[in-house]
Amino acid sequence: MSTLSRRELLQWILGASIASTACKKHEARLESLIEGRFVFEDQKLGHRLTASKIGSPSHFEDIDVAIIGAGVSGLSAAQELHQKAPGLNVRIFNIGKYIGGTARHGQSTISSYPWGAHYVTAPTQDNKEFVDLLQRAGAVEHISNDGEPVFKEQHLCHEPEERVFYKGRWTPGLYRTEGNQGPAISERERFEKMIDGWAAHPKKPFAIPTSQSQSHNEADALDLMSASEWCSANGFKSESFLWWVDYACRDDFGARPEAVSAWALMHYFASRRRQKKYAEVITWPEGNGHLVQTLANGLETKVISESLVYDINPKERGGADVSVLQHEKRMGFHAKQVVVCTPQFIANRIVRKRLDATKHISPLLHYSPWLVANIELSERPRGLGFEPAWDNIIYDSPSLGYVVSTHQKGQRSGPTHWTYYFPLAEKDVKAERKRLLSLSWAEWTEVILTDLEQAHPDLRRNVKRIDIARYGHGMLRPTPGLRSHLPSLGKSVGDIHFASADLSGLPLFEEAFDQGRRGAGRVLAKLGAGGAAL
Amino acid sequence: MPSAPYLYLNVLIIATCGLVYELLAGTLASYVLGDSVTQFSLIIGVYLSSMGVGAWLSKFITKGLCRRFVEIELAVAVLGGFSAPILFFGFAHVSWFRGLLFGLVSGIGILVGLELPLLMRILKEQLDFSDLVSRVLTFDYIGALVASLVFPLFFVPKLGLVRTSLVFGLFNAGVALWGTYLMRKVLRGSGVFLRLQSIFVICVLALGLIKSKSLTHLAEEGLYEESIVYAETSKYQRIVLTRGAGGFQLFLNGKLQFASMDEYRYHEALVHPVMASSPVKKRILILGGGDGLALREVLKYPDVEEVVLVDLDPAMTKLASDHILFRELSGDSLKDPRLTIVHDDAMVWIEESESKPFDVAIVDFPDPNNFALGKLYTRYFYQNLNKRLTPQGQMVVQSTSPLYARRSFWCIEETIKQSGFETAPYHATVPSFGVWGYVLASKASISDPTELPEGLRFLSDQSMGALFDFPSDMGPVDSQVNRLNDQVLVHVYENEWRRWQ
Repeated sequence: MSTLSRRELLQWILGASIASTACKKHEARLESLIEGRFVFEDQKLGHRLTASKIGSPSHFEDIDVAIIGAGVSGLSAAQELHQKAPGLNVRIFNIGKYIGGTARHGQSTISSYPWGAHYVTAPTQDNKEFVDLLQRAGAVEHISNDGEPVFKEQHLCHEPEERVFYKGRWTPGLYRTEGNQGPAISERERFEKMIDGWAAHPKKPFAIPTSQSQSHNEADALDLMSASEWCSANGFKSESFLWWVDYACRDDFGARPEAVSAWALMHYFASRRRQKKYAEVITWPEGNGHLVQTLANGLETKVISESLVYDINPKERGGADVSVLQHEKRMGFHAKQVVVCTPQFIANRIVRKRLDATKHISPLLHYSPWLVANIELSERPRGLGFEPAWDNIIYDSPSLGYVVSTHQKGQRSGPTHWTYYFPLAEKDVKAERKRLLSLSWAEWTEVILTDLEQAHPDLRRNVKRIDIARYGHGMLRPTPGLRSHLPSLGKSVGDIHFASADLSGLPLFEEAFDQGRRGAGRVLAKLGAGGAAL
Repeated sequence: MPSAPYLYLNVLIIATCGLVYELLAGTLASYVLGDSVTQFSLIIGVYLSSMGVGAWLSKFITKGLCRRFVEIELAVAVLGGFSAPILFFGFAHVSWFRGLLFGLVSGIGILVGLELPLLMRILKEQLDFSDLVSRVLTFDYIGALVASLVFPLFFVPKLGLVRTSLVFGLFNAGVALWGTYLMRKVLRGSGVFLRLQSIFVICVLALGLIKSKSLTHLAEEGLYEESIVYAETSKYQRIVLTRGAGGFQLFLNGKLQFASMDEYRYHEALVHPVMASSPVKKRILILGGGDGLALREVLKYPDVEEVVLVDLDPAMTKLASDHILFRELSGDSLKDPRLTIVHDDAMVWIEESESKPFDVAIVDFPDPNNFALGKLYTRYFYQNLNKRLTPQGQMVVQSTSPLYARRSFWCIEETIKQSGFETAPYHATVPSFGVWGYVLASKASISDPTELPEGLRFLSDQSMGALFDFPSDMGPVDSQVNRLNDQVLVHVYENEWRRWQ
């Protein structure tokens, strides 16, 4: 435990106003009967990379392909290889016990629940591979005559999708307006008109995945300014609009609009816009864990878990030596091809000779720390105003509120899990990481409960358990000026390829999926070119 | 010796209390059972004759008159003070409510009947007999006047029945406590013990008075036209029962579910078209309908072998199985051996249940006025329900009013049609609701409903055809399908009903 008082703690994380209201109501309630712990402490093994040098393995086993990381991009790469070249000897090295990276999920007797990314946007037929994945995941009802996928209504987010707790009451929807006029309405209309323009643009400058976008000068220029600069330059200044943008940036990129490029903000909205409406959201009780399961189908025996890849050494004769530490045992593999599906801050550490090539870009890569908590409830707490939604947001909170796991099952009463998201979104990511890691489980639990008690005063007596995942490097921040450097960052080093969502500059499931598939494509091209290699 | 003038004040108080308990029982019985003339007559008769019994019994008390008097006061305080809470509770929870009512009234009557004879015997030492009789009876009758004025003019409107009863209990207990001081010389040793007892009773009654905010529902009274006779907040909803001249009404979350006066129209129209047109009716599924009234109609068919009733709220089915008013109205349908009750969210149950397919499903949910209810009117829900029916299976869905909420009605119809059913929409007039709509739906084709059971009050073979005929102002309108991700119905419903409020 640190030496913070409850008020200091709450003030540090939730801000002064919430802290002072909470401290007026109750005093020091840090001790609690609620169970729980920190889960997935993968960083402990990861930190071995920065500690003392680990020696070399004595023997290197020959394999065809080594995939580093079993997050969405790693599994997508492996699944692509599994389908296109099932005979290849592929190993997937996963640092943790569980696959899925930041899209993993958990399961209890009540329901399954997400531990990170929890929805995808319904794609059009342009993203054919992703539609195929959703079809395998059981989400597609049929393909209509014009080729567009029609999704099953039970897997689209059930109404009500969102509500916001504002001035003591839950209100429907995310965008707050008072009455039918005023700047909040006119600004939003003006914004949607701009978005519609971009969405209908024949060059699709804001496609998902970004690899399908074509370069466009005016769009590219947006990457040079921040989202907040863009808002003020374009005369967006109503409280509602700015809150909405701030929320969107924290929700999607884990950062404030000051640290997010205007390009990323535009991409968020324009990529989802179809015929003047926003596309539907596809989700499951376990969030994107459902898609992780689909991607992992058939790969079970290829995943080597709790294994830390600490050295990837490209060889003159081709291929690379991969050194792995598993349960304090060193293992060596000589892989003809390697796909590094980790974020770049790890790739730079483990791939020899890479850092020199990417040194100038590394300072631009900022990863937002995230906290995700799963709260097990014996019964739904009361709340004033609009009925419970899938996504429940507290207006005045630095958190993003919570998502209800049983929403998609149609269960609106009884026990459930709430998945609570808290991006540490302030500018200095190092200081934010310190905030994330310095608090104890009990302190975070107090923060979470106090935050949610604003909207649910009887919360505590319904909470049974709170498990907390800390992601020190949760997602890449699409900071201004980053995009022009991404192509050089994605370049292969000999037979070593890189595939991770951060190479697309956007922390999206679809980007990780696309990166992984394209990484596998490079492997297949190389092996095919080698001829005898297959 | 006790001080006489103070004891006369006691006579006034106990006389007032005595009449108030009688008025309370009469009022409460007319509230919950209706027919106030009968209830008041019976209560007055039973109460007065019990007082006679009490007066007669007084001669058997020969020793320790003062002590007995205080003890009887305390007994009246407890029994009379808690009479209204006991009766309200009993009304909701016991099947022998009338027994409880008359038992309690007799008990209080006997105790009140003992009071004056004992008091007169206590005072007779001090006063001339003729003077005593004249004064005691004078104060007794003044007390009756006071009671008959303050009860309807002040106490019932300001405090409600439960708190009025507790307040008068406190008066009685106060008389007992006061008595222990006035008669302290006579009581001697036992006085202290009686005083402690009196204080204990006062504390219990005061506690009841503090807690009684949750027993009564004064703020809520204004929301309903009739008096509330039962109210409960279950895990899922607020259940309120009101009672008026024409019978009783059930409200869930403030929305009328049925009125006992005309519910037969609603439930006959809900159940018989689908049952009578169904070739096989052995296994029946009822969704919602925890009041047991749709079930009552279903059980009129001798072919029925099994009924599964799925209702979210155990509090609703418990109330309907135990409560005297419900049991009389439903003919104890919820106790039928062919019935299995399931407490679950119908949406979840329909997806997860592995029970054998049903011949007929009767879908009787509250109107789709929020998304949690609206999900029970979606294509996904009806598709799942479709899978739970036999190949010739049929269902009926209560579908709100085609007159007040025309677009909502046809939206439900369209959604059912798009879920693999042939439909036959129809309507009936239920005075409490207005014109009400239903959708009869079949996986195969719908045959004409024939052979209605005996003893229906509303439907007949001849009148059935007219139900399926829609006048122009309720006729079909183009509608979207209600889906989980896009609950058009909830939005339409809200807009339509808002116009009528």
